[in-house]
Order: sequence, then structure tokens, then C-alpha cells
Amino acid sequence: MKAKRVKKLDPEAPLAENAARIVRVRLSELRSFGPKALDPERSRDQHDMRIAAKRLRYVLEVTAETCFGPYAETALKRTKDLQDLLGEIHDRDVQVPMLAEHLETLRERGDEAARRLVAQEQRARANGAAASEATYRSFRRRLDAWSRADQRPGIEALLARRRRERDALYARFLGEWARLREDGFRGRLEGVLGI
Amino acid sequence: MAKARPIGELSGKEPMGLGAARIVRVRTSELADHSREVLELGEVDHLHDMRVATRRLRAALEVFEPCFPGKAHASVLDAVKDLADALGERRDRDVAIVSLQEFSQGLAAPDRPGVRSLVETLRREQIEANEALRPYVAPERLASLCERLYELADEAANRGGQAPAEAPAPERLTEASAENGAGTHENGAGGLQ
Repeated sequence: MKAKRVKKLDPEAPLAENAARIVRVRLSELRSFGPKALDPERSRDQHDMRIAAKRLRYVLEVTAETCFGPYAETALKRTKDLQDLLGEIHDRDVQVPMLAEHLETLRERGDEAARRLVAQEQRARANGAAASEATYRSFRRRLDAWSRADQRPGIEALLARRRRERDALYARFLGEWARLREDGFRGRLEGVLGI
Repeated sequence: MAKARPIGELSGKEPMGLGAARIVRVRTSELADHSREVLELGEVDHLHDMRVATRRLRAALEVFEPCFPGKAHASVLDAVKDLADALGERRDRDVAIVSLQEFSQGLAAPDRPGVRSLVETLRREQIEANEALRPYVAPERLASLCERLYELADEAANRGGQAPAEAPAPERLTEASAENGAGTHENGAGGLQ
């Protein structure tokens, strides 16, 4: 997402005046994602909101203490928390499909291994091997060894964990966004900008 | 995570160009300071600190863009972004490995092979990312980047109405880097200055 250009910035004008212009634009960008990013399915908008929060955080990081009142530092912390939360959500949005794909590959590989094991047994029978207790035990050993090496249960557990985490993080995000609104985040931050 | 070094004498009333110059100088010195032992795979905090320093520097360059000459700014910003990306690739693996190892400890033994296999893959990627990072943190390359950053800071100070400050000697970065092997001078509030 490309950052909106901030107009009327002047290197010779006071830092606080310029910083206020930048904060105002970055705050407006962050707010613009409000309605869309609240939809749990719109992970792209949540990602863009994270970028917007990051840009607001950056300008506050270098100017909050020097240029504005104490609320700017509170706003910096709240913005950082929001960005971190959205970053955690984004991590899961990247990991979940990657793990699901990995699991699918393992499933295909596992199915193929099982087919090979059964085919080996069928060939042995076709060649006249008797279905004795010993051949059953041998088949069982190979099956158990294959089962012990199976990577799927761990990946399934990891995938389930990441999905649960995503849901929990999203719920926290909704709560954090609601709190920002209740606390009058935008109005209070604009209030300390002085323009 | 290393705390950001305070920007001495920064004031909201001074011209933005001067403020930008002060911030970029301090953030540049932090970048150089945190490049020490960054390639050590056993001590992932070093890399994290350098990544954070790079992020802060990049933020300053982006926020104060109008204070710098366009072409030089774009070129330096690209170099900082490339460095940040290379650090990020390593960091992503560092974090994922720790997270998966913690997760694996909570699993029953039969469920561990899958996660162990993922960790092995990540370790290979971590080594590859480290090798890809190596040229970016080479002492000469970092010294050259720092020199360009200090020149940008001087330009910003000019635009803010002040004569350029005496630039820190980037040569010292190379000398000290040769001593500690990974690429920076002694820590200190003034960085390379």
C-alpha cells in the first residue's frame, strides 16, 4: 500500500508543524481501513491497516515526545500495540495456508507409501508366499515404522493451534479497535497536534 | 530489544531539516553499533537489535523524505531497505524456529516428527538467509552506507538552514570492524563520531 503524500512539508519550517501535518495524514489513513478491516475475512485490509499503523507509529516515534503533549506518547503506545496485534494476525494468515499445503503434500506422500506397502505384500502373495503369522508380523512392523515416522499428526496439531490463535487475535483486535474509539483516540491525538 | 538512543537537543521549534539531520545521525550510529556479531546463529538477539536499528533508521528516512535530495535519498533508502529485508529473512527463521521448538515440547512424542522436520527445513533456510545477509553486513559496505547516510544528514541540515556538521569518520568503522570480525566500532553515545 502506497503512502499518501503529505502536502506543504517544508524543511525550513518547525519540526512540530511539519510533524503535525504528517501525523494528521497518517492518522486519516489508519482510520480509512476501519470498516473494512473489521470483517474477519478481509485479511488484506487488516494487513494494509497494519502498514498504516506502522507509518503512524514511525512518525510518532520520532516526534511524539519532542513535538506534542503527553497524549502523543500514549497514542504511540496504542498504535504500536495495534500494529503488533495486526502483525500477529498477518503471521497466522501466512502460516495457515502454508501449513495446510504442507499437510496436503504429506497426505499425498503418505497415501503413496501405504499403496507401496500393500503392493509389495500383494506381489509377495502372487509369488506364492504363504500368509503366515511371520509375514503378518513383518507387514505389521513395516506399517508401524511408517506410522512412527508419519509427520502429519504434528502438523495437524500445529495448524489447529495457529487457526485458534488467529481467531483469538482477531477477537483481541476487535476489542482494541473498539477501545480506541471509546477512548476518543483520533480526537485526542488531533487535539495535541496544534493545527 | 535495544532501546532507541535519545536524540540530544531535538526541539519541535527548530527547522525540520535540522531535526531530521540529528535523528538520522544518531540512528546511523546505532545501525553501525548493532552490526556486531550479527551473523552468529547462536546469539539471535544481535541480529534482532540490528534489525530494529535498521527499522528506526528507515522510519526516519521515510518520515523526513522532503528534507533530503531526491536521488541520493532514494538510493540510500533502497540500500537500507535491502539490508532490512536481508535481516528480516534471517530473523523470520530465528523466530519461527524458537516458536516451533516451544510448540513441539508440548506435543506427545509420536506427534513430534512433523514439527521436527519443519524445524530442520527452517534451519537450512536460516543458514541460507545468513549467507545472503553476509555481504550486506560486510564492514566496508556498512561503512560506505554510513558515509552516505551522514552526507544525507548534512544535506538535511543545510536545507534546515545550518552548515553541515563535521561528518563522523566512517574509516573508523572499518578499522574497528576488522578487530571484532563482524562489523562495527565500540559502542558509545556518539556512535562513529
